[in-house]
Amino acid sequence: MMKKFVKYLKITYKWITGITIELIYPFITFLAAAIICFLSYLAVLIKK
Amino acid sequence: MIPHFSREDVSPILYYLGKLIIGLGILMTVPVLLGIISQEWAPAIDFIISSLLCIAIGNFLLMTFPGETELNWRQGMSLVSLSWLAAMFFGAIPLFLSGHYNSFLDSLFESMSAFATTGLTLVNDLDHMAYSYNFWRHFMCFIGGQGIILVALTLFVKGGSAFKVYVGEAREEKIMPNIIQTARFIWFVSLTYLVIGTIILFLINIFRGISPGRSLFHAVCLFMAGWDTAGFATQSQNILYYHSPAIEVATAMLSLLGAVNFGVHYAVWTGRPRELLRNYELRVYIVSILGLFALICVGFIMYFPFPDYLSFFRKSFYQLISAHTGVGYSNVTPYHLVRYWPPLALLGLIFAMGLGGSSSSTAGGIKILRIGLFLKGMKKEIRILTSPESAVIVEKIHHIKDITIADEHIKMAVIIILLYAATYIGGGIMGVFYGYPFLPALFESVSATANVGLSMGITSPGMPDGLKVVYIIQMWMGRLEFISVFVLFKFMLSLKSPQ
Amino acid sequence: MNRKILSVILWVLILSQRLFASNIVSIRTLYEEADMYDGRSVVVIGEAIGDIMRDGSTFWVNVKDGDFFIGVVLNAELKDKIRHTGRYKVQGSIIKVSGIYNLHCRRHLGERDIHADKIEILREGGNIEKEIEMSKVFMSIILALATIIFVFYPPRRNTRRDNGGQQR
Repeated sequence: MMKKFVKYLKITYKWITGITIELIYPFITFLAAAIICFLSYLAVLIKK
Repeated sequence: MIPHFSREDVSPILYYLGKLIIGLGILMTVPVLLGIISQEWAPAIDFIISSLLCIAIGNFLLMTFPGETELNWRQGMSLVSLSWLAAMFFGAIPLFLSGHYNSFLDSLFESMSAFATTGLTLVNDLDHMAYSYNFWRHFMCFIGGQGIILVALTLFVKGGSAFKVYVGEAREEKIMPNIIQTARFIWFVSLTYLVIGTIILFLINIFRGISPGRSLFHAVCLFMAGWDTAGFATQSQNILYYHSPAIEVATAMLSLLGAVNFGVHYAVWTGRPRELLRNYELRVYIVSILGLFALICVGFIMYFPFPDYLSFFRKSFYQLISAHTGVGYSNVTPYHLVRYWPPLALLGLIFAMGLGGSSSSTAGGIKILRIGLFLKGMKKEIRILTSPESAVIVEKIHHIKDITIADEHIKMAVIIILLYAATYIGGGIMGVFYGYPFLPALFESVSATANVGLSMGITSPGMPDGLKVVYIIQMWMGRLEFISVFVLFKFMLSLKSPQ
Repeated sequence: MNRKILSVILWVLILSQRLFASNIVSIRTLYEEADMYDGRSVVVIGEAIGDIMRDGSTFWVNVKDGDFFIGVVLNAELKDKIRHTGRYKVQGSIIKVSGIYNLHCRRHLGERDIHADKIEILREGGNIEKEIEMSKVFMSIILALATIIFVFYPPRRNTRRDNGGQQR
């Protein structure tokens, strides 16, 4: 009984951490894109 | 010898088609319920009519073609292509009855656009549409994004036929050893995100002072069209309606996650989060997103219409994410794209749309895995030419597990890439034929084939009927990745002249 | 002489500007000739649509004019004037909005909007009744009967081919 409970707890733990990591993942991409965007904005400013 | 198609094949195909149509009829009871809850009697009756029609015709097919047998490959493939056409037809009936479409062709277009998760729309006066019709539009996106067949698999097809129809729907990967388990897992992922996504969007809406009922409606619909990378929205202005950066961030996040391979979700959720970093397809995907975004930025360096950095980032990156994941949500109007986007930036968007999302995700387009295989194949050829003749060159990728690339993989990938490219250009030529400039025509054609849904203004109720038909075919072929459609064509031809 | 003509032209231009500013513009024109109206005071007429959404201390409402839409930024006082917004079974109020048009608003991260300073209700909105078409009701009854017959009283099945269309 206890063993089964611990097993389910482990699965749930992995599931929740998995989702949390997945939810953070897009923001890392967005951040990288924001940096690229900023660099090109600097280029626009310099051009002006 | 390869067995030819014969009339014998008709019976089992139509039998299973009947089952699918009944399934669609059952799903139409959801908008009936919504109509009753929100006291929309006239729409509820329209859905009752459509639902009954589906069930009656489905049962008629079951009776006339008793053939509960195991399907073979060609039957499975033909069934898939046919079932998408049938779904388009029956899904369009309530839309047509709603009176928001100029013709039945328009509602067919809308229905295919929804099922294929494209998001191009021909609706009139969407802002006064009943909740139940509007929900049905988004619900079709959800069904189509999961896969009509996948939905049916979880409902009733059993046995060995299952995998054959599953493959026909552009999902060759089995995440788990058993296809039914795979289908259940895909549902599990989508429903988990349904809860998360709906809560996030609901809270944003509530915070902005929208009434709870409407907040929930907006949230569920936006989620269904966003996660399944369809790009319908509940209002004519699409995402622009909300005037909210928070909604944009949330939908961009959801669509990016929707465009990730379900196999990766499985790995991450079962305790292998490193898969996010190691997965070859995902790595190519991120590089592609950033690379194409850089291209768009270069375009804007030449012509810069925005007042400041933040609005530049908001408008340009949202379109890119929308294009690359195939969602087709837009926070600018088609006018803006035509008038203020430099050609280089538009080309960047076209490339992003064309490449599409991950394989075995809800996204459309060529799919990044194929691009990755193509790149690896190229590298392999170069290595072979520059190595001693006796050397054995092996290229590997990590995609859920380590895979050694065979020439067969590369061949298939290149065939599909070429087919997509040909369809993109062919549709563009058709657009030019109907009198549109080439760039918008190409944009629209890629958007339809790759099931994106961004528009430069060609798609409107007033566009030529011929072009509507062209786009419907493109959406259908693009969603099913050609092969099963070709099998169906061959089947049709062989029926005409039985061997 | 020349200066006189020039000054006349200048006056005409300035006057027309004035007239222009108070003129009613269709939202379509705001899209097609956006650069010309950017940052200027405009007046648009249209139906208030959907929801009124809070954004900090101000509010957004979308105004529909034909197939064209624009977001209008309102303060709380102006917002209370709009009592009906268009949705199913509801005709939104037709409003006349005067305000500054921005092609890429600096305050709202590049939105295309109108910052309203005056709102006038031209026609109050209200509920629309949607009637149920009797023909559709009859049709659904007939279909229901047909479905019942098909589902519960199927005609004798063709039992000649038990294995159906079997693969070779």
